Amino acid sequence: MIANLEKISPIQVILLLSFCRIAIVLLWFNFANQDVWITEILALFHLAIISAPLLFLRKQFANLTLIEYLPIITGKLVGKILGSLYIVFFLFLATLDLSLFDNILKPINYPETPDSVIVLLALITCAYGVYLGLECICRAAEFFTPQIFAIIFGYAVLQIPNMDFKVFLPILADSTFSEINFQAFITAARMNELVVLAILAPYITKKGNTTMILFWTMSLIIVFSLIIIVPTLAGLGLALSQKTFDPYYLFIKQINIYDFITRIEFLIVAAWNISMFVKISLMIYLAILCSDQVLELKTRKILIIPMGIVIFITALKTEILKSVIVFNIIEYYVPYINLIFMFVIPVFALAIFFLKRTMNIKIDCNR
Amino acid sequence: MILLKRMLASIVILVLALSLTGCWNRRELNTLGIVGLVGIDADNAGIKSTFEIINPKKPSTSGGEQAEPVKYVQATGITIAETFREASLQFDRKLFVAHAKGFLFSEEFARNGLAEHLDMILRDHEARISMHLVIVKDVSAADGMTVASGINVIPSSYLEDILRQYKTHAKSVDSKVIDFLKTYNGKGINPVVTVLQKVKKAKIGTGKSEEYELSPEGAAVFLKDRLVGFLNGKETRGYNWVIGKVHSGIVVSPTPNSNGTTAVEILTAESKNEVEISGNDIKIKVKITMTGMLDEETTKVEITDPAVLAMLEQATSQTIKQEVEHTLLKVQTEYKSDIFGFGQLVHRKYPQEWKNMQDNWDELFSQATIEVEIQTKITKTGKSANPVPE
Repeated sequence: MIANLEKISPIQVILLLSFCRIAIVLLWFNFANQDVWITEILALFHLAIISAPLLFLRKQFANLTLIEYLPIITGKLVGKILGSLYIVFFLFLATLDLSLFDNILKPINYPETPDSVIVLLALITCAYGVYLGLECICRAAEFFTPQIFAIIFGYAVLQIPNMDFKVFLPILADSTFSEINFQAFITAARMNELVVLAILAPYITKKGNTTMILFWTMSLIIVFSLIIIVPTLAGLGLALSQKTFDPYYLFIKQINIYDFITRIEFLIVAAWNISMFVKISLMIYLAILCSDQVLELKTRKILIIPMGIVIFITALKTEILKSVIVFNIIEYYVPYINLIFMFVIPVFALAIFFLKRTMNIKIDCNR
Repeated sequence: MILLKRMLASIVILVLALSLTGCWNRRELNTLGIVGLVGIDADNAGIKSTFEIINPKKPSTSGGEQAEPVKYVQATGITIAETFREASLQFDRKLFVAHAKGFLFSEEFARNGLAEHLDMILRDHEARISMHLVIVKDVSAADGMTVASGINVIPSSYLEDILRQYKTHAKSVDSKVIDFLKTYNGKGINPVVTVLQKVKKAKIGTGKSEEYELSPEGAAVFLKDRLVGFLNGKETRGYNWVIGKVHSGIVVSPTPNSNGTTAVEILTAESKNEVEISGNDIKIKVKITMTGMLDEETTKVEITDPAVLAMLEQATSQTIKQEVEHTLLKVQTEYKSDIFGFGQLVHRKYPQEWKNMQDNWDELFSQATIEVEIQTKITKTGKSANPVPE
């Protein structure tokens, strides 16, 4: 089954996944409370728990994607239904990311450009990325991720004169242990890159340890999230950070080094564009790949245009392009929707897997 | 087939090339009215905004008619955003506010609260919150923003240059919109904003000179978002001592045991503030450390004698202490607004107690005991040894 698969290296996967998550943090981050930076670190421990079922299943079905082994465990019908849910999930994420992209870009750069044009142009670019395939998307991530990380690091250095670390309160000054842990859990639940990894795992060339790939991905995400979050909090304070949708952008607009280095926020706009194109391309690619595996199609390329049309119509005919809708979905619903696909369905599959094993029903793990 | 593919590729490239000629939201420079300053005054209709628009014509240098460096346009409306668009009814270019250097509000306007009018600046994609925020005292904002009596003939540039001088005297503050938003939204601190006064210029000589000039001396004190009063120049320096924002300046004090005067130039100044709560008593300790250089001594004293230098240091400390204590007392008793951010210290040190105090912190601050300690070191005495007077 994996003979026709495109091949990607572990480092490409690490960069791709961390790139996709940082792309979202660059655009939107909820400064829930003063201890938000601690929750980022604590999230690693919560993610270890959430990822356990998927990582275990991955070990059992080393050569198969999540969509391929679900029918083996749960039976063909249930497996196909669950696989279809993953198609909807990736299409939903692609539409949501597109909407987020539109909602950040339009008020700042293109207030007069119609939504339909922004969405259409973005979709055409992403569709071309999908057409070129996973290897191309990964190479793009491999090429751009270090540059975008360098931009984030550079911004942090230039922001030093504007930072006031006195705004940081002692840990738990304004929150409780349970509140911090709940936020950390929500942060972990946002990291749907886990599902992406579960699907991309068989594509990885060197049979590296998936757990280690996840660990390094999450470490990169946390380090660069902190490089974004801590300076923003130190520069704007908590209350002002909570006021805007894009506090990081607001903060980097303040960079002014001796009236010489100033108005350099255009770099972040470039980072937004590149990272969102890569992320949306990846989501569409995964939706097509899942469809391919659920419907057992011979070629995935015929699905690119229909998927693009579905996303285009969904974006324009629903309310998802409205700022309030998209930000509310991201803030309040996405973690729980992610949890269904990151944890609930894998736990369900795992339960059946163990049930079958105890009942001595043979499961072919290397189909 | 190959020919067809090549033709198709050529058509695609040509079509895509069309999209590179400009973006949808292109705004050419010759269609923009670049705003330098925005002055906001109260009006019967709600808000009257005055915009200073930079005239792109080069001022004539040799004869010919002098082009005005700026033009002004006024518009009224219920909100600031509305006045921006209303201005297009009278002006031939669409206003472009991304390069505005400051937002000026009249005193009358600021007394009714600024927060609701700053939302547009935070929300709008063009406006930058790094703009100067200024309260124009006594006269309207429109009146104050037209003065340019310095070397720079463009009022917005003149205003920016004069505000940036605060580091040389510490008798004013240079507040930005972001500073106001941070302190207004933050807990345990209230905003302090730059104040500008239009003052009659002293007539010097017989030549032609401007009638008025701007003075940024002093500061506007806010309680939440409402202007409650002003500090004068010395009081503003007192405020700057406490928050550690004195960069330079001259401290003038009477020379002990003589009729002379000592002027010490501030080289470095630091402040360390602490707060202690015992029962219902709130005790605030302000410790200021200053190093300076003797700039002027008007009477005969033995500067080379360390004991004399220690005496001058003591006198300088006493002057700073008086400045600081006077400011603290005025703000505590008259304005009852914690502009120093002592509440943030309480929040950090006593997070549990702060929960009960935060709602009436300004009242508690007004009753707090404040101790001021000043340490001055005169590390340099300039180029001379003993003073000129014999």
